[in-house]
Amino acid sequence: MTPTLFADLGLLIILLGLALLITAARPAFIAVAAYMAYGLVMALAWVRLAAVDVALTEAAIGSGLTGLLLLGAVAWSQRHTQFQARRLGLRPGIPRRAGAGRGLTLLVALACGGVSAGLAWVVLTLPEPAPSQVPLVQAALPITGLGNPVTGVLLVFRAIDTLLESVVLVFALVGVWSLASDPAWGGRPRSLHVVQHSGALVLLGQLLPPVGILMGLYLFWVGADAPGGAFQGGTMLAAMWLLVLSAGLAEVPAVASRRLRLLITGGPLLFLAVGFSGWAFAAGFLGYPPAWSKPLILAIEAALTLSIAAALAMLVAGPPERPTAADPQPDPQPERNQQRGHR
Amino acid sequence: MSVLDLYSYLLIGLGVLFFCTGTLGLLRFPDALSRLHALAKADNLALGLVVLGLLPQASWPLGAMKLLAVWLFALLASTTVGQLVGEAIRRGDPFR
Amino acid sequence: MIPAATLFGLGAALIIGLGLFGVILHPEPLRKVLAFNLLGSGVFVLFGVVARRGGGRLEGVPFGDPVPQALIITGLVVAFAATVLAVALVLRLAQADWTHADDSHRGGQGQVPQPSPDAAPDTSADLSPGLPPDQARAPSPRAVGPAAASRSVPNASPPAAA
Repeated sequence: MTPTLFADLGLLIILLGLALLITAARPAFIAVAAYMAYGLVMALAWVRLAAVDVALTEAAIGSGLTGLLLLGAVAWSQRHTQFQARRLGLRPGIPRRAGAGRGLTLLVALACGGVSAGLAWVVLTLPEPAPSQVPLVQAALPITGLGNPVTGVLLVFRAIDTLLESVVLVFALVGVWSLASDPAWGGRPRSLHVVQHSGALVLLGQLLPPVGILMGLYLFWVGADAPGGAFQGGTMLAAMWLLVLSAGLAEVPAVASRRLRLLITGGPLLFLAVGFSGWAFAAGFLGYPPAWSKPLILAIEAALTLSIAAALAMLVAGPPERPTAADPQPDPQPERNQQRGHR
Repeated sequence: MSVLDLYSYLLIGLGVLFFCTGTLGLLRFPDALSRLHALAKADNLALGLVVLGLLPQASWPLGAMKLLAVWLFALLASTTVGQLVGEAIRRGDPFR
Repeated sequence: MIPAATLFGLGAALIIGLGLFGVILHPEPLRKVLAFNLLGSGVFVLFGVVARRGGGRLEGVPFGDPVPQALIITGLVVAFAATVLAVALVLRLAQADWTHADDSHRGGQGQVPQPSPDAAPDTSADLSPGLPPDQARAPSPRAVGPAAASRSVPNASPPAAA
């Protein structure tokens, strides 16, 4: 057994252990924490699979943003369960929803095991030699002026996917905002609302963003020739914005804000405009005139980076809300909490 | 094996040892604050040792500076997170 | 000798099975969303294995097939968007459940309400400290549903502009 295979095996065992924890842990908080760790280890696995672009995306979105989102959701639902239980005069510890019976669990486990076994069989019998698009990409990449084949695929060869993906982000945001209650419509998302300023978080919110923003812009810029790109850079920028917001150093914009909406739709709109102009100046929809391809791609990527950053941050911030009594209150009184401790 | 390689092995090995100590503390200490302490102290030192051990193997100067930056950011992050978790524990939040 | 890609492929198959199990059997909606993300991650790795097999080595540095890799990046972002939407729906549903429970409770039914999804008993200590029960009972919760919305319109403040 070679050392690298040994390392891969270790990576895989950690991943499977975390996956088991995500599925089986009883408190939702532990499952979400395990998911964040899983995303980071998975980023290492992507590097081992020679997919550094994917590794960056996985660490940023799969672990970071999804983890933040789910953590916020778990905290929210626990807080509201508590609050409502107290309001309705119920016992604070709410009984869990009933799970499936033993027989059904066994049946589902067998079925899922069957799916796994089937997939494992597929993996073991993948065609040899493996089909590959590498020669095609390598032959066509010089025309684009790009050095990173993944960026080439994302913004030239399969640009339609990327265009639709950036539109999906906008649609998801429309969907999330639509879940606001009528009186809250047009207002500010409150999930990142700061109840009590924490000195440490404020310091981090002041120290890190200059470096983080630089790193986000670098990731976007270097994406043309090395691993990186609009999505990785945009996520980095979104993370910095979220950090500043959750440190209470800036206020979450209202969803009715024109500037915010322009920022979010700017990237996809520019992409669409360039796409349509391809009919006039190039081979067709989403075609670039060869002499202009590199500057056009960079312009689209720059606008996309900003739009993705704004859309991702606002997606995590959630729908606009009005203050409720179930929100966390400032000035905690620990002694009362201890009296009410239900552990 | 050159002297530098030996140096790398030594420091990375020491770092791994400190990682193990920190993890042991995380698993064995009785309450959240001391677990946090074990994690923050031992793991930051361990990461520093691993980074120092890797320095001669990295390209000079950019690779080495990136490695040092990784350590600095990890220090900053763990300091902040330690502080935040500590505050949450003092407030009596349930995530412990 | 098993190549690394095959190893990760087998792991991905197991992860997909685990995720599927969670999606089907977890009673709490948020955990279902989490399990679905796990399932999706397994699918991405499986695709990544295909990408790795389609690649090779250039001057000793391994590379993968960029086409599947680009699709995986797209997939990760879209999966995140779907997760956000799902989580927002779950939380909204929990609010609606509570309003419903509130109505039936006040109506003297004495019915045990459907709780919000993630009430793990062992982590259910207080998250909203410093709110005495009498004060906690007074303010109305965020209203949900057409009837409830109209109920809370009078104290609606105009939406804040940027």
